[in-house]
Amino acid sequence: MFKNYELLLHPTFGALGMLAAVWVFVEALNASEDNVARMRTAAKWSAVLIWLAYITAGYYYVMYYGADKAVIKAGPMPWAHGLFMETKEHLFFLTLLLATYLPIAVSGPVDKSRAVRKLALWSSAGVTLLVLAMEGAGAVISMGDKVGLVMKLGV
Amino acid sequence: MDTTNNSQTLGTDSELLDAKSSGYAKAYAYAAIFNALLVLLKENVHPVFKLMASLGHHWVTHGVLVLLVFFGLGIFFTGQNKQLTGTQAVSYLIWSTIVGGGIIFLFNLWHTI
Repeated sequence: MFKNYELLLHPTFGALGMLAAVWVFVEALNASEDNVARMRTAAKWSAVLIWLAYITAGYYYVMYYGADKAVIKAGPMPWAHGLFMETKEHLFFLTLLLATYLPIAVSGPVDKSRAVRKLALWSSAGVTLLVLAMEGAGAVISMGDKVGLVMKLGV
Repeated sequence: MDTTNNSQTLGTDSELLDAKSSGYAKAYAYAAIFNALLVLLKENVHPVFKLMASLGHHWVTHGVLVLLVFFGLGIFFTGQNKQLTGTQAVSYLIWSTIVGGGIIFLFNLWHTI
């Protein structure tokens, strides 16, 4: 049962981390003295949530994914593992590092320096796009697992 | 809101960032490329994969190594105090993500088709 909840927690933390990154992007677009503190808080939340997505995903991947992998590879969508999971599990490290970098990127004077604002905008946009790619790949992997199970059980 | 005045007070993209933002932008770029090269190495050289797996799980070892490179180089580059402009730092982030991510995607595509 915990396994199922954990599998839900991973994309939930990822989506919330992405929302926090979008929040940073919007605050950076309108950077002023009034919202810099809020932007830095959102950046820290984005980093924490992506780390939580990493930890929950890592635990599931190491402990349980082997069985899913066998089902996917034997099913009609073996590329859901070969292409999407193999890419996702390593591309995720870039998402983790960029989300970790986000609080550093917004630590400068975002409201006073165009260079810092540019860095804040691109870093938060990068986290957003990478998480979207992770969520999309996760959906394909999940579909590969489902159709593999349907075939296996002959439903 | 008067955006013209705002952009004048904001300065330019070629302003220098602080040492930490610059150092960790470079560290991210190196870690992103290292991550991709480690995928190629462990998938093509079996003893490397076995060694990484023997330390627990190859993916966990992989992640720890990438994080060590990121934080290690981040501390090192920050200490060097070589500041980047905003444009340079963003270029490091974008190009390393495209190249590092592209290598991983194309490698897996090659092995899938």
